[in-house]
Amino acid sequence: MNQKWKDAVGDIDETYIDEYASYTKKAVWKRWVPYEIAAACALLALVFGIWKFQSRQTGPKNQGNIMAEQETPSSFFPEKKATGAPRASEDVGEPYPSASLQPAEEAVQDNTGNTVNEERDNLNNSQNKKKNEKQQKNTYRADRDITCEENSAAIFQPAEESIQPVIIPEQNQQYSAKPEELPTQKPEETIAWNTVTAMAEPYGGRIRNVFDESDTEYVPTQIPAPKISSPPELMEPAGPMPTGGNIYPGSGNMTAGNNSYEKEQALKQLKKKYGEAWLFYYEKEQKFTLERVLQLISEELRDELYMKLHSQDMTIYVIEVKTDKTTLQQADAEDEKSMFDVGTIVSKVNGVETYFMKDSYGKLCARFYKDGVLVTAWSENGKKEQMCEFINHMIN
Amino acid sequence: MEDREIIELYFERSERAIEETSKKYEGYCFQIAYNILNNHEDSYECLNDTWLNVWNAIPPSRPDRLSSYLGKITRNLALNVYQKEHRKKRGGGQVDVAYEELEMVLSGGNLPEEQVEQKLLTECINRYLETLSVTKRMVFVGRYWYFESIEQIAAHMGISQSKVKTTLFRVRKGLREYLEKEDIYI
Repeated sequence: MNQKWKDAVGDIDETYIDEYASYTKKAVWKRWVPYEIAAACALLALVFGIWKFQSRQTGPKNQGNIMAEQETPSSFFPEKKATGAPRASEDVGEPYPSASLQPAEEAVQDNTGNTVNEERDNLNNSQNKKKNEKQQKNTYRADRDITCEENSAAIFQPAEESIQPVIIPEQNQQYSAKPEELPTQKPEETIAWNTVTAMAEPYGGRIRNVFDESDTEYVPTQIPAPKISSPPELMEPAGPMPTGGNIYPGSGNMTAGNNSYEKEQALKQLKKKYGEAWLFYYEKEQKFTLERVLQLISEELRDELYMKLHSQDMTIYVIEVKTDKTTLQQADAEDEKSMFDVGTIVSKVNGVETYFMKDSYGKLCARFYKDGVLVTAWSENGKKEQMCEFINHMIN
Repeated sequence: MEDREIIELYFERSERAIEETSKKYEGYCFQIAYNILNNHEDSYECLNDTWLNVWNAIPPSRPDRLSSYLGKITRNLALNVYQKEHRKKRGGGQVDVAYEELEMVLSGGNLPEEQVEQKLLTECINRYLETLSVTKRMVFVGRYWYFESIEQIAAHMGISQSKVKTTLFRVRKGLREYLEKEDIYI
């Protein structure tokens, strides 16, 4: 009997034997998380990730679609009322959208017989009336305030006769005056205009006459545009050579054009911004402001140049940019040298070192004053990128 | 190596088949033998007998599941070893040997009726196991096929020992009722 049991149990289905063996082989967490649940969770995570990714990428688009969906049916088509007489178009069996494509002209009747548009117009009119009344009240209050201010202004008016305003005793008369009743004085003759013109003089006098367009006597000061095309010859910087300690704008030879207030202010700002690093751009004896020079140089180089110069306690002037090949040849002839490798010192006179540079863009040469005063640079075709690259290379 | 490839090696009569079988199923078969014999040397000896029996059995037989096929052979061999060892412990074993010789004639032989009866009993147990839940079924198989201890089953199943005992009690009781319902009286 015992043997029979042993044999009977020993011959049970192999499925059950394998079931137990495979179950005991599994890790504990795998036993408690069946494959189906694990696969379902992974699939859900994947779907969620894809949905999240797509929603992030097409977020604005979806938003736009939602906006479009919100706009189209409700705002472009009138809402069909639940109560009220059926529409004529429905009676004859016309499709709804074709009859409602122009909602502004469509007249939908309600129970009282009035059209919806009429009701809407009445409502809008009543609201507008209320708004107008409110605005009128506010205007009255504002008028009263203005009157008080005018009276106070009349009391505390300045002693100068030139800027005395014309005070009209009656209230609001100056606002209700017709154009024909305005003063017919010419702008030049008005005291106020002359005062303004005089005040604007330090800024170059560039004040436009707004009263008379035909007035051509006044010509505002124009800043000449730079011309980089054809400088006639190699030029040395005008005046004495600036030195490291005496190179501030407005003092000495750095003056660019008229030493006006505007330029001084601009230079002060630039000085504040760039410290002791000053760049000047000369062409055809026309001296430009530092601002113009900095415009020619890229912003990255500007900052980098400033950092370099500031760290080395140097000041560099870019005096000349010669664009013409003839000029360059002249420069070569002057130095009695042809092109040299980059950074080669070809001359050293009184502490002035001259470097030459040759690259794929063409010929570039420069005089670089080692004590940090002057850089004279020529470029064959005078593009500012080349200049920037050149200056950058020289500094490095 | 896959089971199918190992079986093919047996059919090719390649000795590498035994090597691959041993490499893949040594631990599995050893655990079965050790559960019964509780002895390393006997278990390894049982394993060697298992490889030899498999070598002799394949071909002609071609098992669908090599693991359970090997498990059955190991189990039977281990049980035989176990019986022999117990016979020796009971003092020479002459009574037992004599009784077993008689039992072989009376009921434990290869009579066709007994073989049919055993087959019916096996099928009945299989049907009963099919009605059980997975946990109960695995507890039953672990206990009565793999001969694992209560502690081992509890550790493998991740349940307490008391629950294993309770489950075994209910499964036995249920099997008894099922067999009676099937008109099988042991």
